[in-house]
Amino acid sequence: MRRRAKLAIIGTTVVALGAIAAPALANQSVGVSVGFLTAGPTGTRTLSVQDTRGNDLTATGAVLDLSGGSNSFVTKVIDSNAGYANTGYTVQAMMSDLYPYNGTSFTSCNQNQLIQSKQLTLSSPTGLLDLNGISSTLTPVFSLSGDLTSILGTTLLGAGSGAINNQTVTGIGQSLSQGQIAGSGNTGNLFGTTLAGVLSKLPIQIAGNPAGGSFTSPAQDPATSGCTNVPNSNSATQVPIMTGTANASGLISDLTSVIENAVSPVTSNPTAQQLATALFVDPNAVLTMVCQTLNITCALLTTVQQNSILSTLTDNLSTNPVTLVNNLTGQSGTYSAQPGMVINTQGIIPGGYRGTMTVTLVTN
Amino acid sequence: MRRGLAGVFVGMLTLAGALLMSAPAGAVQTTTWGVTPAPTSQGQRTSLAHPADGSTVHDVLIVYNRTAKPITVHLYVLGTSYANGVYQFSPPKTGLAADTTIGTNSVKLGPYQEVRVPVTIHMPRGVKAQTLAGIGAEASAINDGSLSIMQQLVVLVKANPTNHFAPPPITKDLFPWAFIAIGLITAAGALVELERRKNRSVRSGSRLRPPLPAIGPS
Repeated sequence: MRRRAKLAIIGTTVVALGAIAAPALANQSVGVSVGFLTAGPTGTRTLSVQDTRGNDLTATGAVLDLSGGSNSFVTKVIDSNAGYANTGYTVQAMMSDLYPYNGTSFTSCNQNQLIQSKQLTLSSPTGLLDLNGISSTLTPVFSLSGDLTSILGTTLLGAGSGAINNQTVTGIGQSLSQGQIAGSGNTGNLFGTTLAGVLSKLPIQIAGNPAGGSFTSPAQDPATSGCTNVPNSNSATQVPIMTGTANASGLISDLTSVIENAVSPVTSNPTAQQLATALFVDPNAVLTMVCQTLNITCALLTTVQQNSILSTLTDNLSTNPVTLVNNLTGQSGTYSAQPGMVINTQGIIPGGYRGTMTVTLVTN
Repeated sequence: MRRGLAGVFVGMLTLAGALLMSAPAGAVQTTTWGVTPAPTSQGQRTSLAHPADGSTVHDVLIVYNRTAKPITVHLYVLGTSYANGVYQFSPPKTGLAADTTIGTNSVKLGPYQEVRVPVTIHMPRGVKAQTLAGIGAEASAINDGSLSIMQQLVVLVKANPTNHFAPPPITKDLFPWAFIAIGLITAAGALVELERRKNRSVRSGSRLRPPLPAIGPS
């Protein structure tokens, strides 16, 4: 009895202490944990900054030389392994002031001797945008209609109607290649007027900054300069380089066209049977939709009735184009911009200078 | 038997390791390193998006090294807004950024290493439009030529409007817990006192009892 009482006391005290500790524990963060990549990421969006010959400008030894007063570079956004779905992006840049540099070290932090960031202007002409390797994975949704009354008869329908009106059925996931999206003649790099002509059909609509912009307010002084004139980048001017706007709806006409041309014979009003034969829809999904809509038992359908149902229901793609499930389930492609950088050299003391440009990628 | 248990343990460890080390998806990366929100049961994500329901969210960001060389990635929270085709960043003094904290500001990554960094977000309550913060990541710039090019990757933190609100966080209101704790401690004290009185009554009872007759050969 005494032992039981002791246990009760201990238990009660532990519970009480737990009650006090619970709120504190509830807000505790887990620690940083470490692991190793066993394989490459399964879906990635990669930012790459290169010179116009394709050398990585963030690698040791690579140089973006502005001694001539201007230069160009290339920013690339590469979606791979269909890891992204219906997600756009923004690439932008900020710039520090440029300080005197003798080839091995910074020589001055004097504000009268530097090149201010606002003397640099960056533009990203639309004509120099480029993309290739576009593909998308997506799942179509069909709207099927047809009168099944004579097929099902009164045995299954009773006095009810067998009319199906625009009932939706989720199809089988499809992968669209660049040729299917942009046209069979556009399988390589798309740029200039060709790109402009197909932009609305692409899963990502890209745009540059043709008007250009100067880096009005500087970013933080270069880390190795030792200068503290601009201690942080809090008010740095961000200049757009390239934006990619998700445009899943642009693929509807592409997918509709692919479907119309894939069914046999070619038609814009395919039957469910034609869609099933071309592997756009699972016939069982169609029959399940019919049974649920008409409230009949699918197990009672004969093979003849099933085939007749599939041959009778149609999707008029002209008036009822497919819709897309969850917009997209994956997208791949390489999007490039070639911004030009120009320095206003007025008032600059001849000599070597160095600054830092930060190129930022934000996935929207 | 022991060997069998060891085998099971090793198997479980391997499985746990495989789950832990599975490659991140939906990642943004440079040619050398990358960052991504940790996948959830609903799959990969490209941002840390949660309903603005007043709750405290514990999330995870994965930072990884794509190369065989060590690399250090710096992490920081950014006040973030979008206007005129660009994201504007500011110190994390107000808004969602002020309510976002990350487990560390610097991650040293060995070859092909990945690190999971905890992110805690105190979500706002009752916002009518999506609000943003950012978690910026950058590695040191390579210093060559007139311009050092630095790449910055930003993972957005999003507070999305919702009609469903979490109950007020208990961490901010200790009173109910304090009352429960006081009640339980009082009950424990009462049990102690009861036990003490029982002991005393047993001891005093034995003193009043008449002595037992001596047993044995007389």
